[in-house]
Amino acid sequence: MMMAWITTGAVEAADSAFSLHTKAVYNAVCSVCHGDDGTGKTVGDNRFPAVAGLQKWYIEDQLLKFKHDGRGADARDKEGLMMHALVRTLRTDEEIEKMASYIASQLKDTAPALETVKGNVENGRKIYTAQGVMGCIRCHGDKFQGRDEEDADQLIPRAPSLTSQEDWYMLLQLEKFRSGVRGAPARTLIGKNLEQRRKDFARRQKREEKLNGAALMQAMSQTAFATQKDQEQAMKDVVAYIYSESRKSK
Amino acid sequence: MSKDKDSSKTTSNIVFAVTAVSCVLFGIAAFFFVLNTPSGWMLGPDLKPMTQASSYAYDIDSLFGLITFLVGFWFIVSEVVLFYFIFRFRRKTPDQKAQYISGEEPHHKQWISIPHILVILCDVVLVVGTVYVWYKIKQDLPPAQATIRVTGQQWAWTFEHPGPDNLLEDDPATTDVDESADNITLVDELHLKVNTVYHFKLESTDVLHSFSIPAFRIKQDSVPGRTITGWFEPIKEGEYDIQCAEMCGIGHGLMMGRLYVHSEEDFNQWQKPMTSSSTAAKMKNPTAPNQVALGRAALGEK
Repeated sequence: MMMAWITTGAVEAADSAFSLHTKAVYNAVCSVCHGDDGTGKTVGDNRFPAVAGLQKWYIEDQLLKFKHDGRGADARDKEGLMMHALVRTLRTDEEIEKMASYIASQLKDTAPALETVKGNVENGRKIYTAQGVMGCIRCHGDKFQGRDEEDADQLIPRAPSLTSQEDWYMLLQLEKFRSGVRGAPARTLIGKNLEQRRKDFARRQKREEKLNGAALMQAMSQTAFATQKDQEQAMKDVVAYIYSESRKSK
Repeated sequence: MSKDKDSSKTTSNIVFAVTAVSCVLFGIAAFFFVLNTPSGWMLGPDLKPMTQASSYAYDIDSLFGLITFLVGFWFIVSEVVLFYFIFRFRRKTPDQKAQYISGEEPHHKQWISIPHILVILCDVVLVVGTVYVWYKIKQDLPPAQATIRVTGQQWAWTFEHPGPDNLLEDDPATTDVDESADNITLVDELHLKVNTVYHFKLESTDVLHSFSIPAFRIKQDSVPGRTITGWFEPIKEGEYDIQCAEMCGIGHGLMMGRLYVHSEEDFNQWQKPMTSSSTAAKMKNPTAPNQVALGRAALGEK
């Protein structure tokens, strides 16, 4: 009896940061695509991105968006549609918060660099480090570290870190932002309520969020490449630059 | 020794009686369960009879009811006969030997042959009912008042609504107008107008899925590479579930959508803001000559 009590206590202590349930859900559902260690996976023709190494707020925000038609609810978004369905495993905002916390705190970004996007690194550097509102560096930072706090006065939203992402994924998302597949909620009844849900969510997390990072990203991706001759190649250049630098810095 | 035998006899009698009574009670309960739910015998997740929200939901339910009724009847009759015979021909004295019956005597055989003919007659009734319902739902295609496109892919349903012009695709007669420009495409959300005959064009982009709306009593496989046309007519306003009914991968159980059946007023109210800016984009190229008409003229066609 005493023994049982001690063992249970030990297990509870070890998992105090996140419940056993969260860990079990990750291992049963998320790990099928994102890998046991969260570094992504390739299954046949399908590639799945890394989740390890992302900031907690970003994971939480994206899960919430997937859940409430803010992302992945576009018929053209093949990969997003998968996540849009699978996120339903997490039934409440609390479960989403716990999962984000588990991924951000327990999974370490250990994936080896594997270059799949070829591009002109110098041109990419120019676009990334451009001065003014068009430069990626403004939000994602000189070390690709992103930023955890927004600066509402300067119109700089929070931004995810780019250091843990693989190049094919960054290119894919950049294309989705540019074509309008990603960045705005769907016109479904659920999507129309998303803004309110996000506000409520932010209030519960005791933080304030004024800027809509995804909408800004959509606008930036559509304007930043407008002056480039070959826009498709320019996107590859940027990704090649980020990938070469972020992997070098490791 | 004889005391042991007596007690085992009593036990087996009790077991027999309990089994016989519970079998018959189960049959009668199932029977009344079917008869007492005229609104539809299918149970929803809340264990209440599921709404019959389409024009043919009642036909499907009636067919299921008919099958349950006839099969239930024969279930009860055969159980009653079985247990009656077990009781009637039980061992009555301790030294009674079992008797071998070959079943060739006419008065033995008739216990099989008469029910056999009756069951076949019941089968004919079921086949007639089945063919009637199958023809009405799957063979007959009533003229469409609107058409939607349903696409299944891992793991979402994409619904393309025809929009305010009520046309899903280009009409070959008016080729300079892009009928699909004002279409409303939504993921996992379908909006329908009540009392309207809808055709659906069902497609799949990857693997087999099955488009299922339990409240409509519809379930149709979608097959990659094929466009399957079917129909339904919503008759009851409300909010219903859409699901995938064919194992399609790890997300199969989470591949669900929501169906909204609106009154005409509500439907227009929903549709209006969805397509406010699309009228200008509707004309493909208003100044260009009609290419198809020119081509037809060049080929000497009228």
